[in-house]
Amino acid sequence: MNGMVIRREPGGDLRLERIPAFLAGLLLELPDLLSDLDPRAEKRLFPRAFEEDEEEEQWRRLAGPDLAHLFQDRIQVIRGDLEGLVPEGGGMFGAGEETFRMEIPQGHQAAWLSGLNGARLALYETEEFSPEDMRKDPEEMEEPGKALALFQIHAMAVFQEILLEGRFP
Amino acid sequence: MGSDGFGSKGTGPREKEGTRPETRLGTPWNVVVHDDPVTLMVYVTRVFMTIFGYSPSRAYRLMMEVHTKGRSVVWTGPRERAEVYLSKLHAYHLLATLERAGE
Repeated sequence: MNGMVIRREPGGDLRLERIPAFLAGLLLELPDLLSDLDPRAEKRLFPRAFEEDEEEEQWRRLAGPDLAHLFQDRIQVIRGDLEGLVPEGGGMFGAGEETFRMEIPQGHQAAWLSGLNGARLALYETEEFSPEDMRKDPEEMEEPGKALALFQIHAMAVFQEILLEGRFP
Repeated sequence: MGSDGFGSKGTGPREKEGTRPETRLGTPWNVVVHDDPVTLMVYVTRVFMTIFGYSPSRAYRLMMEVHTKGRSVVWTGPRERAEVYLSKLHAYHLLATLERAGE
Protein backbone atom coordinates (compact mmCIF):
# COMPACT_ATOMS: atom_id res chain seq x y z
CA MET A 1 0.00 0.00 0.00
CA ASN A 2 3.02 2.20 -0.56
CA GLY A 3 2.08 5.50 -2.09
CA MET A 4 -1.47 5.52 -0.73
CA VAL A 5 -2.36 8.98 0.55
CA ILE A 6 -4.72 9.54 3.49
CA ARG A 7 -5.88 13.02 4.36
CA ARG A 8 -8.08 14.00 7.25
CA GLU A 9 -10.34 16.90 6.38
CA PRO A 10 -11.07 19.58 9.02
CA GLY A 11 -14.45 17.99 9.78
CA GLY A 12 -12.86 14.59 10.38
CA ASP A 13 -13.74 12.96 7.08
CA LEU A 14 -11.02 10.79 5.57
CA ARG A 15 -9.97 11.26 1.98
CA LEU A 16 -8.06 8.28 0.60
CA GLU A 17 -6.12 8.62 -2.63
CA ARG A 18 -3.84 6.42 -4.72
CA ILE A 19 -5.53 3.29 -3.38
CA PRO A 20 -3.91 0.35 -5.18
CA ALA A 21 -6.15 -1.75 -7.41
CA PHE A 22 -5.80 -4.89 -5.27
CA LEU A 23 -6.96 -3.03 -2.16
CA ALA A 24 -9.82 -1.39 -4.04
CA GLY A 25 -10.92 -4.85 -5.16
CA LEU A 26 -10.68 -6.17 -1.63
CA LEU A 27 -12.71 -3.29 -0.22
CA LEU A 28 -15.39 -3.86 -2.83
CA GLU A 29 -15.73 -7.43 -1.56
CA LEU A 30 -16.28 -6.32 2.03
CA PRO A 31 -20.11 -6.04 1.95
CA ASP A 32 -20.43 -9.52 0.44
CA LEU A 33 -17.94 -10.99 2.90
CA LEU A 34 -20.12 -9.66 5.71
CA SER A 35 -23.44 -10.58 4.10
CA ASP A 36 -22.79 -14.19 3.14
CA LEU A 37 -21.77 -15.49 6.54
CA ASP A 38 -20.82 -19.10 7.03
CA PRO A 39 -22.43 -20.54 10.22
CA ARG A 40 -18.96 -20.66 11.83
CA ALA A 41 -18.45 -16.98 11.07
CA GLU A 42 -21.93 -16.10 12.29
CA LYS A 43 -21.24 -17.88 15.57
CA ARG A 44 -18.10 -15.78 16.06
CA LEU A 45 -19.65 -12.46 15.02
CA PHE A 46 -22.63 -13.02 17.31
CA PRO A 47 -20.94 -14.81 20.23
CA ARG A 48 -22.38 -16.15 23.46
CA ALA A 49 -22.77 -13.60 26.22
CA PHE A 50 -23.60 -15.85 29.18
CA GLU A 51 -22.46 -19.24 30.35
CA GLU A 52 -25.93 -20.31 31.47
CA ASP A 53 -28.32 -21.28 28.68
CA GLU A 54 -31.33 -19.53 30.20
CA GLU A 55 -29.48 -16.23 30.52
CA GLU A 56 -28.11 -16.63 27.01
CA GLU A 57 -31.53 -17.29 25.54
CA GLN A 58 -32.93 -14.19 27.21
CA TRP A 59 -29.99 -12.12 25.98
CA ARG A 60 -30.44 -13.29 22.40
CA ARG A 61 -34.15 -12.54 22.55
CA LEU A 62 -33.64 -9.03 23.89
CA ALA A 63 -30.36 -7.85 22.36
CA GLY A 64 -30.06 -10.08 19.30
CA PRO A 65 -32.38 -8.14 16.97
CA ASP A 66 -30.71 -4.79 17.74
CA LEU A 67 -27.23 -6.20 17.16
CA ALA A 68 -28.32 -7.83 13.92
CA HIS A 69 -29.92 -4.58 12.79
CA LEU A 70 -26.78 -2.56 13.61
CA PHE A 71 -24.69 -5.12 11.74
CA GLN A 72 -26.85 -4.75 8.63
CA ASP A 73 -26.86 -0.96 8.94
CA ARG A 74 -23.07 -0.92 8.99
CA ILE A 75 -22.90 -3.09 5.88
CA GLN A 76 -25.15 -0.59 4.10
CA VAL A 77 -22.95 2.31 5.24
CA ILE A 78 -19.88 0.57 3.81
CA ARG A 79 -21.71 -0.32 0.61
CA GLY A 80 -22.78 3.29 0.18
CA ASP A 81 -19.27 4.66 0.70
CA LEU A 82 -17.90 2.15 -1.80
CA GLU A 83 -20.10 3.68 -4.48
CA GLY A 84 -17.69 6.59 -4.25
CA LEU A 85 -14.64 4.40 -4.87
CA VAL A 86 -13.58 5.61 -8.30
CA PRO A 87 -10.52 5.29 -10.54
CA GLU A 88 -8.15 8.26 -10.55
CA GLY A 89 -7.36 8.00 -14.22
CA GLY A 90 -4.01 6.24 -14.21
CA GLY A 91 -0.50 7.57 -13.72
CA MET A 92 1.39 10.08 -15.80
CA PHE A 93 0.70 9.55 -19.53
CA GLY A 94 -1.84 6.94 -18.49
CA ALA A 95 0.89 4.46 -17.64
CA GLY A 96 1.30 2.45 -14.46
CA GLU A 97 -1.13 0.57 -12.30
CA GLU A 98 -4.53 2.13 -11.94
CA THR A 99 -5.27 3.68 -8.56
CA PHE A 100 -8.53 4.67 -6.89
CA ARG A 101 -9.83 7.27 -4.46
CA MET A 102 -12.69 7.43 -2.01
CA GLU A 103 -13.92 9.26 1.06
CA ILE A 104 -15.02 7.92 4.42
CA PRO A 105 -17.09 10.43 6.39
CA GLN A 106 -16.21 10.72 10.07
CA GLY A 107 -19.59 9.34 11.10
CA HIS A 108 -18.98 6.20 9.04
CA GLN A 109 -15.57 5.29 10.44
CA ALA A 110 -16.93 3.09 13.23
CA ALA A 111 -18.84 1.10 10.63
CA TRP A 112 -15.67 0.64 8.61
CA LEU A 113 -13.50 -0.39 11.55
CA SER A 114 -16.11 -2.80 12.83
CA GLY A 115 -16.81 -4.10 9.33
CA LEU A 116 -13.16 -4.73 8.60
CA ASN A 117 -12.79 -6.56 11.90
CA GLY A 118 -15.89 -8.60 11.21
CA ALA A 119 -14.68 -9.57 7.75
CA ARG A 120 -11.25 -10.59 9.09
CA LEU A 121 -12.91 -12.72 11.78
CA ALA A 122 -15.31 -14.24 9.26
CA LEU A 123 -12.45 -15.27 6.97
CA TYR A 124 -10.53 -16.71 9.91
CA GLU A 125 -13.48 -18.87 10.98
CA THR A 126 -14.60 -19.89 7.50
CA GLU A 127 -11.11 -20.95 6.42
CA GLU A 128 -10.51 -22.65 9.79
CA PHE A 129 -7.22 -20.91 10.40
CA SER A 130 -5.27 -21.51 13.59
CA PRO A 131 -3.68 -18.84 15.78
CA GLU A 132 -0.32 -20.01 14.40
CA ASP A 133 -1.52 -19.37 10.85
CA MET A 134 -2.02 -15.70 11.74
CA ARG A 135 1.73 -15.35 12.14
CA LYS A 136 2.46 -16.88 8.74
CA ASP A 137 3.12 -15.31 5.39
CA PRO A 138 0.30 -16.10 2.91
CA GLU A 139 2.89 -17.75 0.65
CA GLU A 140 3.46 -20.36 3.34
CA MET A 141 -0.10 -21.64 2.96
CA GLU A 142 -0.33 -24.73 0.77
CA GLU A 143 -3.90 -24.21 -0.42
CA PRO A 144 -4.33 -21.24 -2.79
CA GLY A 145 -7.72 -20.42 -1.26
CA LYS A 146 -6.21 -20.19 2.22
CA ALA A 147 -3.28 -18.15 0.94
CA LEU A 148 -5.67 -15.63 -0.58
CA ALA A 149 -7.82 -15.49 2.56
CA LEU A 150 -4.76 -14.95 4.77
CA PHE A 151 -3.57 -12.20 2.45
CA GLN A 152 -7.00 -10.58 2.69
CA ILE A 153 -6.93 -10.80 6.50
CA HIS A 154 -3.50 -9.13 6.62
CA ALA A 155 -4.36 -6.47 4.03
CA MET A 156 -7.55 -5.53 5.86
CA ALA A 157 -5.54 -5.30 9.10
CA VAL A 158 -3.21 -2.78 7.49
CA PHE A 159 -6.20 -0.76 6.28
CA GLN A 160 -7.72 -0.93 9.79
CA GLU A 161 -4.46 0.39 11.25
CA ILE A 162 -4.43 3.22 8.74
CA LEU A 163 -7.94 4.21 9.76
CA LEU A 164 -7.11 3.89 13.47
CA GLU A 165 -3.97 5.98 13.18
CA GLY A 166 -6.12 8.61 11.61
CA ARG A 167 -8.20 8.66 14.79
CA PHE A 168 -5.35 9.45 17.15
CA PRO A 169 -4.52 13.11 17.70
CA MET B 1 -22.94 6.44 13.76
CA GLY B 2 -24.36 6.57 17.22
CA SER B 3 -22.70 7.33 20.51
CA ASP B 4 -20.60 4.19 20.23
CA GLY B 5 -18.79 5.64 17.25
CA PHE B 6 -15.04 5.87 17.29
CA GLY B 7 -13.92 9.30 18.32
CA SER B 8 -17.11 10.05 20.19
CA LYS B 9 -16.76 10.91 23.81
CA GLY B 10 -16.81 7.95 26.14
CA THR B 11 -19.75 7.45 28.40
CA GLY B 12 -18.03 5.23 30.89
CA PRO B 13 -18.89 5.66 34.51
CA ARG B 14 -16.40 7.14 36.90
CA GLU B 15 -14.70 4.66 39.18
CA LYS B 16 -16.35 6.01 42.32
CA GLU B 17 -19.72 4.94 40.94
CA GLY B 18 -18.95 1.47 42.25
CA THR B 19 -20.19 2.71 45.62
CA ARG B 20 -23.55 3.92 44.36
CA PRO B 21 -26.62 2.48 46.15
CA GLU B 22 -27.92 0.77 43.00
CA THR B 23 -24.69 -1.22 42.88
CA ARG B 24 -24.96 -2.30 46.48
CA LEU B 25 -28.54 -3.51 46.05
CA GLY B 26 -27.84 -6.18 43.44
CA THR B 27 -25.03 -8.51 42.61
CA PRO B 28 -22.47 -6.65 40.52
CA TRP B 29 -21.62 -8.11 37.14
CA ASN B 30 -18.28 -8.28 35.41
CA VAL B 31 -17.90 -7.42 31.75
CA VAL B 32 -15.17 -9.81 30.58
CA VAL B 33 -13.28 -9.49 27.31
CA HIS B 34 -11.55 -12.60 25.94
CA ASP B 35 -8.55 -12.83 23.68
CA ASP B 36 -8.85 -13.81 20.04
CA PRO B 37 -6.05 -14.35 17.53
CA VAL B 38 -7.39 -12.00 14.87
CA THR B 39 -8.47 -8.69 16.39
CA LEU B 40 -5.73 -6.05 16.38
CA MET B 41 -4.39 -4.85 19.72
CA VAL B 42 -4.65 -1.22 18.66
CA TYR B 43 -8.28 -1.82 17.72
CA VAL B 44 -9.10 -3.35 21.12
CA THR B 45 -7.45 -0.41 22.88
CA ARG B 46 -9.44 2.06 20.81
CA VAL B 47 -12.70 0.23 21.48
CA PHE B 48 -12.09 0.36 25.25
CA MET B 49 -11.39 4.09 25.04
CA THR B 50 -14.50 4.70 22.97
CA ILE B 51 -16.98 2.55 24.86
CA PHE B 52 -15.85 3.08 28.45
CA GLY B 53 -14.18 6.48 28.09
CA TYR B 54 -10.95 5.06 29.50
CA SER B 55 -7.66 6.89 29.18
CA PRO B 56 -5.24 5.54 26.55
CA SER B 57 -2.99 4.10 29.30
CA ARG B 58 -5.83 2.33 31.10
CA ALA B 59 -7.27 1.01 27.87
CA TYR B 60 -3.84 -0.23 26.81
CA ARG B 61 -3.26 -1.94 30.16
CA LEU B 62 -6.58 -3.78 29.94
CA MET B 63 -5.91 -4.76 26.33
CA MET B 64 -2.54 -6.18 27.35
CA GLU B 65 -4.22 -8.16 30.13
CA VAL B 66 -6.58 -9.65 27.55
CA HIS B 67 -3.65 -10.43 25.29
CA THR B 68 -1.34 -11.96 27.91
CA LYS B 69 -3.83 -13.61 30.29
CA GLY B 70 -6.53 -14.50 27.79
CA ARG B 71 -9.20 -12.40 29.49
CA SER B 72 -9.73 -9.23 31.44
CA VAL B 73 -12.54 -7.82 33.56
CA VAL B 74 -12.93 -4.46 31.88
CA TRP B 75 -15.86 -3.14 33.90
CA THR B 76 -17.90 -4.15 36.96
CA GLY B 77 -21.27 -2.80 38.03
CA PRO B 78 -25.03 -3.10 37.76
CA ARG B 79 -26.31 -5.67 35.32
CA GLU B 80 -28.33 -3.28 33.21
CA ARG B 81 -25.34 -1.10 32.43
CA ALA B 82 -23.11 -4.14 32.00
CA GLU B 83 -25.49 -5.38 29.30
CA VAL B 84 -25.26 -2.05 27.49
CA TYR B 85 -21.47 -2.30 27.48
CA LEU B 86 -21.62 -5.94 26.40
CA SER B 87 -23.86 -5.03 23.50
CA LYS B 88 -21.43 -2.30 22.38
CA LEU B 89 -18.46 -4.66 22.64
CA HIS B 90 -20.28 -7.24 20.53
CA ALA B 91 -21.10 -4.55 17.98
CA TYR B 92 -17.34 -4.17 17.52
CA HIS B 93 -16.97 -7.97 17.37
CA LEU B 94 -14.95 -8.33 20.56
CA LEU B 95 -15.39 -11.63 22.40
CA ALA B 96 -17.12 -10.45 25.55
CA THR B 97 -19.22 -12.12 28.21
CA LEU B 98 -21.00 -11.21 31.43
CA GLU B 99 -20.48 -13.02 34.70
CA ARG B 100 -21.46 -12.35 38.28
CA ALA B 101 -18.64 -10.64 40.14
CA GLY B 102 -16.92 -12.89 42.66
CA GLU B 103 -17.55 -16.11 40.74
